[in-house]
Amino acid sequence: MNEHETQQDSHDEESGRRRKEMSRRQFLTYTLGGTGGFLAAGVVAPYIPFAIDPLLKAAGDSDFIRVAEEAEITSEPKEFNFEFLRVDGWHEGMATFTAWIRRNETGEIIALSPICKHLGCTVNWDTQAANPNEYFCPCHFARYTIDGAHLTIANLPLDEYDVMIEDGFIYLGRIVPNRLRG
Amino acid sequence: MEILRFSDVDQKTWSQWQPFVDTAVVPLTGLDGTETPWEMRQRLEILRDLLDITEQPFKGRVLVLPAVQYAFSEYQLKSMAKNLRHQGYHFIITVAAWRRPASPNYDDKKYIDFEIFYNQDTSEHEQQQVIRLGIERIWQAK
Repeated sequence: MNEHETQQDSHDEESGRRRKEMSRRQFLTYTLGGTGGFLAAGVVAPYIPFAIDPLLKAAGDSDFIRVAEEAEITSEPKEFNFEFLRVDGWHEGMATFTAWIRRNETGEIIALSPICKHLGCTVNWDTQAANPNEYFCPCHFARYTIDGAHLTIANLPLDEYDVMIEDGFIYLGRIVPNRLRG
Repeated sequence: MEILRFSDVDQKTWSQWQPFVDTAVVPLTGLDGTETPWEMRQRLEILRDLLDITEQPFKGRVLVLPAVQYAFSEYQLKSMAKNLRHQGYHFIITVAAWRRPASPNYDDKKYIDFEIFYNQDTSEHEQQQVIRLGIERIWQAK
């Protein structure tokens, strides 16, 4: 091995080491970038829960609202309208809901939602002389029994509200699929 | 179930909905340029509330179309109603945020099946009942 080859080897070794090492420019980029990112995260992080607040809140399944007196309820469905605070993302507003409430043969209080399960129109009780004592949808003529079971057009029974009775008053909660007790 | 909005309907979804939707609701704001901005806003809010109580109970069968914001002649109204019928709507309903003056030649009954007006003397519930019964009546009449 001559002197020239030795110098060449030494030069290659040094440049190889330099390639593996971080340059000053890279060092500054990583350091400043990392520090900037860390500081930005410190500023932004506290606001993240506010930004996704509606997602973090549990659904208000324990919300019941007083709708009627128990004494008013008979075996004949009766219409009750009530307002409920509806939260849709960041938008909050009072929305009007309707329930058809009756006491069934076993004495249980049933509150049906009037929203037709076909396309979402509003059904009414006993409005058709040809089909008395049924819920009837004026839009596409879906019919339901007094318990909300579907007879024509719709494929599902009318939904019902969760019911709670306290101190002689009826409270309604979430809308849930009909349990069709009959 | 969400309300069907004309702005959400594309060619494919319309072919699915069209067999069920036979009633067009045309909102009329009735502005003529003499209103201040707050009066315009008030008029639009009235119209929005009237549309809510018209659309909500009958979603799935009615479709609210874009509003006619400024003055509109009876002739144009008739022409629009005729075109809508050609589109396949069997029933045309107008919802006006003010009491439309009846002109001497006012004879668009055969073009417009039911006209809903804002009536400040009635409660929202009463107005809701009038609208509900009126729409059900025109559907049953055919």
